[in-house]
Amino acid sequence: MGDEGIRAHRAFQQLAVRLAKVGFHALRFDYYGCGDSAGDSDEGDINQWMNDILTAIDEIKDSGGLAKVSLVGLRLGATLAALVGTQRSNLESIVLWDPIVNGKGYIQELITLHQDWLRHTLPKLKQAEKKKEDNGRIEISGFPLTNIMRNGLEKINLLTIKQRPANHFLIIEDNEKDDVILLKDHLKNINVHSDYQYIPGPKTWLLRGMDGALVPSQLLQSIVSWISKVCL
Amino acid sequence: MREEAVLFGKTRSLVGIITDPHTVVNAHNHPAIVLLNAGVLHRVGPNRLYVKIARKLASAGFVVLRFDLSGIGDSKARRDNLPLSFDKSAVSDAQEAMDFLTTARGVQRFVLMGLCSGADNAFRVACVDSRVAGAVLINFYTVGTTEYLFHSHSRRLLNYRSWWRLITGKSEIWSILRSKIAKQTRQLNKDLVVPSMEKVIADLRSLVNRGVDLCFIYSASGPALYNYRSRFENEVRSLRSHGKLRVEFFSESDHALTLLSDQESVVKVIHDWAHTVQTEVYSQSV
Repeated sequence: MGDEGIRAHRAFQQLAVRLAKVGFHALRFDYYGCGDSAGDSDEGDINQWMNDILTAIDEIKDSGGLAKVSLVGLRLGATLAALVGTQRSNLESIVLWDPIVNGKGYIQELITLHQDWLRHTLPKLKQAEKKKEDNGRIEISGFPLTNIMRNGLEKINLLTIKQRPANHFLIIEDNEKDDVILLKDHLKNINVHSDYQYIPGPKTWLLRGMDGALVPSQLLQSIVSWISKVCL
Repeated sequence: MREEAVLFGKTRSLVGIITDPHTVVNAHNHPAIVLLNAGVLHRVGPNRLYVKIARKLASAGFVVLRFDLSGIGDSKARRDNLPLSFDKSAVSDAQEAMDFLTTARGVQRFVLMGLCSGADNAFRVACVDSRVAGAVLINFYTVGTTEYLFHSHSRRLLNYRSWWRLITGKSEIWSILRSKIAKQTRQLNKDLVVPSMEKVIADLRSLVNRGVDLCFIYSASGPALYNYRSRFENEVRSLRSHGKLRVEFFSESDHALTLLSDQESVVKVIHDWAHTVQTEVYSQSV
């Protein structure tokens, strides 16, 4: 989502190349209003994006004549993959890479990040002027946070899912988060077995500037190895 | 407006998106727009700015191509065994983009645009390829002069946290002081593939004499503006009298023009400038 999606683009391109090398068809796509896809940045919403994932699943199944589909998502993408998995009972595997467990917490994290950036980057005059012109428009790191998106995010809580999202489930993190521990416990309580891997590394999606698009090679390789193990 | 994903280049390894206007008007004379990557960010640009620019300009009648240089975004690294440095391969990639648009859309003239390294590359291509009729250069060239290094650290001199880091030995200033500034300056220029200011000015004169329309856009909280003000503002001022050169300042914006209001303003500036260029090209061709 937003700036995070741009920062993660190269990592996902490299992940797709690595998956293709070991024999998987891989489809990457942008949600409506994101990246190259149609729509303006203020036109996306959570329901639309979940439908986009379902469209992507159908697309790769139809174009490749495939029976099994796995999803890999990062941050909000991981969360939406898990939610789609609970609606679609036939997913082979899902990889949650640094999932957002709680939407409200995510909004707060993004707002704090943006405000820190404002304080450190823009002169005081501009900050004051910006406050005045906001008129209820909230923006986060170059992207609008619309009311419809905010409402959609606020409803997200992975600790409330009740169905098994996929046959195989991996949570992979490059920084340890407390709410992911809660998610692991919750999945255990609803009898969903999940694998877990912790691979320390930089938070590539949080980097600012023109050079923030790193590829976490070790983590990508772990995803490829895990999917190969459970799906081939 | 219609958008299409395309593969092009000698080895069809470059990936881009063409945004076509509803109605294409006289492709032979009408310049197409090519947007060049900002740093290593892929073709959507920082904050999706390039998508906004592309769609706005397509709505004004331009064919626009946003694409990834070799090794960036979805484009593969070059495999043609040429020992090219990044700046040279970027020029070659941009020329292949123009070749492609000539074949695919019949376009003969081009306006290149980019932010940060995208501006540097647009300038490089404009200097060596006469098909380039104009360029929009956003936060063009950061030259690693000694003054620039001082400027880039000067804000920290006024920050109590920086002083605390200095006192506690955690500041990187110690390593800077330990190294020779001249050596660091040379290294910075090498890393950024920056020519001498004299060469930049000579090239700029040559472009203006060739009749290339140029639009410089600078945001305040970036070193590029400092370089502009300290090194070639006077030169640009004298060249502005030729009427082919426009300079716009975003006096309180960051390097990537992150705020939505800044994005809206820069898209408008580019749209208005492009409209002027469009009119000029038509009047020349009639």
